[in-house]
Amino acid sequence: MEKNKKFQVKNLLQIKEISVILPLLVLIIVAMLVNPSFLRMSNILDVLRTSSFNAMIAVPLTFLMASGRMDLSIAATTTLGGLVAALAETNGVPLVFSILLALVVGALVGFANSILVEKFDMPGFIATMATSYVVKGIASVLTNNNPVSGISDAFQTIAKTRIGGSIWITIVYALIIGVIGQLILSRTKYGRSTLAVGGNPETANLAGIDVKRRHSELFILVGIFAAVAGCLHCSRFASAQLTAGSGTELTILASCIIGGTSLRGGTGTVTGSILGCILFATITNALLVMGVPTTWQNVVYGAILIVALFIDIFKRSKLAKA
Amino acid sequence: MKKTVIITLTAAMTISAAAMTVSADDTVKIATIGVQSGGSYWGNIEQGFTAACEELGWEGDYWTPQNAGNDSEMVQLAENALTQGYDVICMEINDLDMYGDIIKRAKEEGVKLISLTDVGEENCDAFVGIDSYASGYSQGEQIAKFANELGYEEVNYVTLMSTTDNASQLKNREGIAEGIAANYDGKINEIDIAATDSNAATAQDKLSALYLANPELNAVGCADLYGALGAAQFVSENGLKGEFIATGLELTPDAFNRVLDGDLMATSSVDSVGIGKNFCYVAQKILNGEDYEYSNPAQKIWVMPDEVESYCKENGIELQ
Amino acid sequence: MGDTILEMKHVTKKFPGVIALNDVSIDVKKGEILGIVGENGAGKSTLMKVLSGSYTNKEYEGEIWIDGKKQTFTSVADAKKVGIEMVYQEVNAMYEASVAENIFVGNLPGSHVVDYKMLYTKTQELLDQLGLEVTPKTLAGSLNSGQLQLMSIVRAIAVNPRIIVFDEPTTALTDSEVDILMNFLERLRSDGVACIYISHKLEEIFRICDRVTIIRDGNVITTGNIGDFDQNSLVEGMIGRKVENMYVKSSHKIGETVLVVNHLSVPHPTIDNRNIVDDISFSLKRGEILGIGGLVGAGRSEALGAVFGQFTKGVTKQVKINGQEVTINSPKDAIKAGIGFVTEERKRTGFIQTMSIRHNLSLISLYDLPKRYFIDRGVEDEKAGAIFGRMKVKAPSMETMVVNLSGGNQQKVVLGKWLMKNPQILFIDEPTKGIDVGAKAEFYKIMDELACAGVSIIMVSSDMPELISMSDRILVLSNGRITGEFDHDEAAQSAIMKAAIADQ
Repeated sequence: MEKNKKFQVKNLLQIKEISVILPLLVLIIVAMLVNPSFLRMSNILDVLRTSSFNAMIAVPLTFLMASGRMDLSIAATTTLGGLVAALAETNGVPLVFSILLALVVGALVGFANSILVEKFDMPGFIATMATSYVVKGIASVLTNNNPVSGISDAFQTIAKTRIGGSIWITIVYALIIGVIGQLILSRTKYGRSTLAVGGNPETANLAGIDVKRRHSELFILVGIFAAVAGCLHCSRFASAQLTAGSGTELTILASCIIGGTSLRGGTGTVTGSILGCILFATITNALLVMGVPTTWQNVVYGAILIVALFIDIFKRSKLAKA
Repeated sequence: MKKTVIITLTAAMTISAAAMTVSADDTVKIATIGVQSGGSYWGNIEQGFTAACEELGWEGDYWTPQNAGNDSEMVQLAENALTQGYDVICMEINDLDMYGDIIKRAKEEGVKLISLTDVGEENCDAFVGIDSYASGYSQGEQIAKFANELGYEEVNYVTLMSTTDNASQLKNREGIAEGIAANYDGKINEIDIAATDSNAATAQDKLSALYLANPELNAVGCADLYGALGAAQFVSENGLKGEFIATGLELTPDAFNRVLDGDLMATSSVDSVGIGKNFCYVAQKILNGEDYEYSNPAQKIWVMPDEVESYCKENGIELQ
Repeated sequence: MGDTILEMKHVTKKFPGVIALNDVSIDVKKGEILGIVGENGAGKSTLMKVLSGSYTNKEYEGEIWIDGKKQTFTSVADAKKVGIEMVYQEVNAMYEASVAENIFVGNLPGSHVVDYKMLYTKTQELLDQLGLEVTPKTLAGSLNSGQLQLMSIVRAIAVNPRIIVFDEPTTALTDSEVDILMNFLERLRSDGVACIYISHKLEEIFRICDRVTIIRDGNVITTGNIGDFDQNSLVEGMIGRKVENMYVKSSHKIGETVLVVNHLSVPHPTIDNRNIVDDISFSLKRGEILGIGGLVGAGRSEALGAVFGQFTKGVTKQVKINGQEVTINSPKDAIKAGIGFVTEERKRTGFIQTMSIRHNLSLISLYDLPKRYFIDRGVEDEKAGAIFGRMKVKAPSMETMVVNLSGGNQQKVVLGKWLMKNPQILFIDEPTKGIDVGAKAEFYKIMDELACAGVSIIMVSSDMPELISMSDRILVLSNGRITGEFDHDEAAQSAIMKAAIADQ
């Protein structure tokens, strides 16, 4: 009996995403006990919708981080992407082309990042932070600091549609992107070689993988998806806000890390990152639903993250000994 | 004849040259340190400020911190303005302790300080801006009015703020509470406060969660723009039109559309362009030694659903 | 030789699933040097960790006796207290501090304020004893790796220990520095200090040790006087089977010229206007093993790296493969042209730490696997599995992480990933650096098989017997130029050495 139990604990630790799943489950159970309405479908869908916006960026970011790079300009690109799409559409550009234009702008931001980091060897942390200021600045210049409203109904349906009258369509988008992302990362040559690049760029280069090019591609991919998130944000509120995505860069980055993607590169799972996004959205939601006093929320928020990190460390040490 | 022409020309040139140097010396340098660049409120202030500077022929600069609302950056900007010899500095003094040195230095150097918050005559030369408390009080009055009209048995509301430690928004919150209390006789309960992080999505998510935890929630007080936008979206998505009190803080096409749709019961704003202009007008009086009022709160304008059309027509706002 | 000073009795140490040490007993006498030999993973390091107090006495079974008294170590400090010092292969130094401070860290002279005058005098005495030509005030960071290793030895003797354990102390040393160390060990012996000397380099064991203990798979195979062993019997004891000749070289046909490199120049990485490889030309035939000898820094690795496209900045070269000129601007180009490269530094450039054996093996052939985008796991398993078996990698499964393997097995994986790609030309830089004898022999066997199968190999080696025994032809580089060329039959150690130091 005893032996059997141990065996199960070890098996649990084998799950890569356990450091997210465990706190998430505990949180859900506690929240459910404190306030059963936490489990109401509408609430769960709300949480998933919030996660879906972040997951949209977390998926490509997982690839970028697994390849050993990071990007702090995602939130700014989200803002700019939404604004560009809204500006174009309100000025008569057809919807499809407006969104394409936003994606191109997102790709350009990613390209700029890749030039700074890959061509000029600047440290990614600072370089992408610098880009984010430039991007925010461009957003201000473009709009003279005013939100852009008046987008068409068609644009609004992109994020506002509810499948079967209840499931937000952005959840479906995130799910599709997540499944594709996970497949690419774990099953394809592209995914495997991306992990190799992050695990040891020098070895990967000697194995014939173009490391700098891979990083550049992924920077661009992240830029594109950040712009996608911006368009969805714009669609949701029927106007492009200058603060769309504000403050999400660290949440998304942290979601990936807590989901098992290493900042140093070489490891990462898309599933983990998406669960990370869900964990963050759930914490915010659960604290309010449970009625934790506002003054205490930050304390609890931080404590949950520390617990998640502890599980991760515990898992690593257990696996290393085995 | 020839001689007179030369003399006249020389004289004219001398005078004009002199006049030019005098005017260069006399050009008033005025700096406004905004809390953020962008957003309808601060965008309007900048717009009014720039227009008034142009009108008066002043050298005006509008500066903002890299991180919106970061007090220490704003203090740094104020120090720069003092060092660079500006005659007038307009800024939102959020905290007398943090801005204490600036206030002291300005006094010593004879630089005029105009504050967007009312920190008292002993600390600044004039107050031009929103009286956060009065503004909140006005919102409270409206909430009470709607509650009475809808026949609420009690008002259970949350207050949304950018961050829960923002000093002027905390005053706004106080105003809301007292505005409701003074005009509504039933039971009033502020369920909670929540931070929006200046992000409409966050505001909406938190409001949804709070509504789930507290089904009795029937009103929201907003101290920040994004809170109001998030609240409107919340009302719309949860089908609470006409039974949940939310009011807007913008006079933009977006806000008017929300009012017409019924997501917001009304929308309001202060004349923020006027605040920007008033910086210069009040400063001019101070510099010229004329009599002036210390306190210059901006007007709060409310627009109800039935007034939207006429207001837009008057102000040339097009609704799509 | 005096009385027994140290006895370790019946030491057994278990890790989950593995018995690392099984009833191991050793003893060392005063003024004696005991050699301990064994393959990587045989249990030598574990045994020394027991002795140094890294494991507390509750974590293993068995006893440690010193001077006839039973000891219970609960920490490294306890072991130090009774006079046990360790010198490790990897040096821990404070690079920003002086040599003197590094040596006396922990027991600086002076009661409250450091007495620097005293410190420097005492340090100088110790440095003189060893014959290390650096001054006490030199910053540790400015020493080369050999000097750092000698400094760590001085640090160990500074506290007048009674027992010193040397764990692979000569890996970073040059030949003359090895001589310094050997002389010093003689001195320690005459001073009555007991030494334990662990090394893969059997010539050192024969040169300095009085007795030797062979450990294999956690068991003591035998202990005896050094005179009772010869190289073959020692190796047999270590790997558990007879070794006729470690260097396998079967006769096979050497074919037509496959690779020609003309006018290869590589700029020096740190010195301006100087080439580390200076206008050299060479060629390689089918099935030939071309050895490249020379001193460290002669430009050997750089030459291979430049041909392979690892270095491109300022490199000039003309490369012909099978008579056709090829442009190689990146490793990708080189691989496409049929070249493989087993680099010298396994950890830094050989394998991917975050990946399993399977993933490392299929890394280079990833895009050769069937299907355009997805990885066909069946085929991958089959192909990587074949290499895994052929290389005899000692691991529970292909899912084991490469970092957890011993050096020899890591090297097998690194070679294996190239074999899976099946290149026509293979560069191997220091093929057996830091790997144990058993793995070495297996490695040579595979190299020989490759050559017989028509693969052309260029091998850079600093290991003289390896260079001479395995190469069909040897080029010697000195200061970036070719200073000698020898056939397999005419190659002699002295002639190669002469060429290596020529033109200095």
